[in-house]
Amino acid sequence: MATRTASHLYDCSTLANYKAWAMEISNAMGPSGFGWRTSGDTGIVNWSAVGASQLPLVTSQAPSGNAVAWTSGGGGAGGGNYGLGAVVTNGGNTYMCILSSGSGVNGPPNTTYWTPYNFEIWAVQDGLSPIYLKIEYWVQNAAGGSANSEPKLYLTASTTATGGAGVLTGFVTARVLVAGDAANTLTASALQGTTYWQPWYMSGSTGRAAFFLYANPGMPLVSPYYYNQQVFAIERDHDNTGADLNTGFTLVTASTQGTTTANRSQQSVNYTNGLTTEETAAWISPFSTLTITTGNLAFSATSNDPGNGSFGTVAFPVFPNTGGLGNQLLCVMLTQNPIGNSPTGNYDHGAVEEGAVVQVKALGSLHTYVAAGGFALSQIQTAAAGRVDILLVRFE
Amino acid sequence: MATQTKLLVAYSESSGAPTHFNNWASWVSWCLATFGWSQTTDTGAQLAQWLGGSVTSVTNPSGNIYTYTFSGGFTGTSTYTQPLPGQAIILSGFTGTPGTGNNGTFVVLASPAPTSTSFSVVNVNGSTTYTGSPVITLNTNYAAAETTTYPPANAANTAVWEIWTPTDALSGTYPYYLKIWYGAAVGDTPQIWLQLGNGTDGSGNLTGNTTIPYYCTINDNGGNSSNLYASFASGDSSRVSFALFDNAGGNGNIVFSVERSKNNSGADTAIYAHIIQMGTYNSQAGAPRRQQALFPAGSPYGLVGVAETSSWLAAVPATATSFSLGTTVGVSPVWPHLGCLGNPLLGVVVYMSADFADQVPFTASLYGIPHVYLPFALATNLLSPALAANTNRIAIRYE
Repeated sequence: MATRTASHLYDCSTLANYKAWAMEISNAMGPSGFGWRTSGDTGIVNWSAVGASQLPLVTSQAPSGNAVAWTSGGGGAGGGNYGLGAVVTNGGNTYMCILSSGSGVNGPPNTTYWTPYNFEIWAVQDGLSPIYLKIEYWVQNAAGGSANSEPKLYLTASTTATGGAGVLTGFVTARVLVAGDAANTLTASALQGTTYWQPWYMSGSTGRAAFFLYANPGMPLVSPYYYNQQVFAIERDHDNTGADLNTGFTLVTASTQGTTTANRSQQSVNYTNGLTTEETAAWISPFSTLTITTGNLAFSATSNDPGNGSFGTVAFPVFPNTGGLGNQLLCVMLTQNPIGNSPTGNYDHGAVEEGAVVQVKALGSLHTYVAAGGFALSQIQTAAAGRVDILLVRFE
Repeated sequence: MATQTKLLVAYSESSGAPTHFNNWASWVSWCLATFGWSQTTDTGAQLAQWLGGSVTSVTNPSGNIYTYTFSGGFTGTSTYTQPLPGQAIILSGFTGTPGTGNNGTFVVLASPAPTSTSFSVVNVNGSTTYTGSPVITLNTNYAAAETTTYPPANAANTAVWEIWTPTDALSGTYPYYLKIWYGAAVGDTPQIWLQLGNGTDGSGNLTGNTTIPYYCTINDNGGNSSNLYASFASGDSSRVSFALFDNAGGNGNIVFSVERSKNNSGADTAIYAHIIQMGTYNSQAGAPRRQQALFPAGSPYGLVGVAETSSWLAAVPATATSFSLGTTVGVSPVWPHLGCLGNPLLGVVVYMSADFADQVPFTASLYGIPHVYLPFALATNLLSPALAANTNRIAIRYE
């Protein structure tokens, strides 16, 4: 297991910032980080070939089909025009068709017809059944945001080997957006001036990964400081001691899209029975039905444990859907802002200020988590509107 | 362990003879006695009495044990056909000295076993002297319209009550008490208030640590004096789970469950007791829900657990409408909120309505042990109306 920390600008307006952001994730996943391996698919980004013109502006168009070498004669069996979503390689880079007729002189990098498409596919190396995680690195240019400024990820996971050209196969999860709030770019802060380096917390191993990007420790809990946090994690099922099982895995994400809507996703995959329905309203947790309280629920690894149960603290588990509840996930847990229910006032969550590292007993053992809060994540549970929630992201 | 079921009219008379009221309320009482719980001898004007009848003789088989023979009882309910061990009975009408020593509130003994014409109690003041016109008191209180505020007794004839305690092996280590008020809501629909406590003062008040008293009722639409609704219960000497008036008014029922804390294997422990309850009241959003743990005196963990007032602590999908994957179908337990999560309760589970048919028992494995649950798919008093899909439903332990 490994932990990594970094600091990055919430900004992809320059090639340097874009590559620093994307390659931080890439490096964390890879051999020098958690130890996942690249799938080696055709079309996977070659970072050294990504230039300023390869900043991929996010589009509503999703990629479709294998990456193939672009030809002027066009794609398809008959050599006609490329269709929307078609993925091609050309000149060492990969592109996705955003307007058909991307043939002939309309070939990439013509931005009318093509967008740069930078993605990676990572595979676990823990010796159990395969897990593939496809990461697409995009830049936001949607209305309300600064053009070419915001980092956005799309994540997709699958169970079996890829087709070799960027398309996941087997049981494949829905493609999930992980992004900050387009209307609240944050490249400067009162604390740091025109540059605002926001901490990242990452941990993983050859069989799992957990990311908490763009923390805002110590910042006031006001716009725009609490809009950009992003969390995603993937891990296997566990037995009741927390050991990995070879039965399936779960991908969870949480981020903000707009000032009031959080992106939430929880998808579990079983190697035998397939995919669960993507949970988009809330993660599966008793935290979803927790009554809003204002009690100061202190964190302590040795807090009262009268139930002699699996959870020795106030942290609430998140469960994979395995056709029922599997043993709790270890990559994330949930708890409540102990100082109140309104996202106002100081961004100090009492004992669990954002970025605080705490230990939590889960599945019989202590695990280390980093606290992620803020408005961006506070609405991770729609059932708890108005409540400031804290996500705990595994950090060990 | 045992299960019980009965068709009951969801009606609490606010005037006249409390026929239906006595029937449904006494059935709850009867179930508790049948499961092996014991009633306290607390006294009070509204202490429920379900038998009635005239005492015809008194004998003293041994020590302080007195056996009372009676006739003409069982007129008040359709439930009790004889006194049951653990049931509290009020005797009155003995006169003179020492006969008046027979007057009082007593708990029916298991031995000598009660019959349809006799029961025995421990009475240190008992006497075989038979004087006066002694009777077993019958509840004639009807249930005047209630409010949803505590205390539930807002009028002379409102919310008769009982206090019960488990008799299991752990009751010596940690006895706890369940007070039940039987009453009515607006529209003469049944309403129950429930509270746990660590003791009683002998006058009907729970003492020591106590949970917050709370009510559960059914939708007003269920209030009429003719419709019968299936009611279910299961329990043993340590726990009970009830679902009353299922689908009353087309959308509700009253569910409550009381049990002890569990260890990692699902076995009872004496660390705390727990109550969970839910009803329907006019709207799903307004359905009263409550869960709370009660710690024994001197517990290092506190007095009571956090009172969950808007939902139960359960984990169900908010997007998916089924909790199935392949051939496996899941349910969610409910967790006690102690400041942390206790080990899951067994008395109730939450499931997705698409997964199980109404009132058809299913088996769910909790703590690795199969348990039988009875689902209520038609009753829409949900775990949490805020969960988007709103397809979650409740099942009670039924074994």
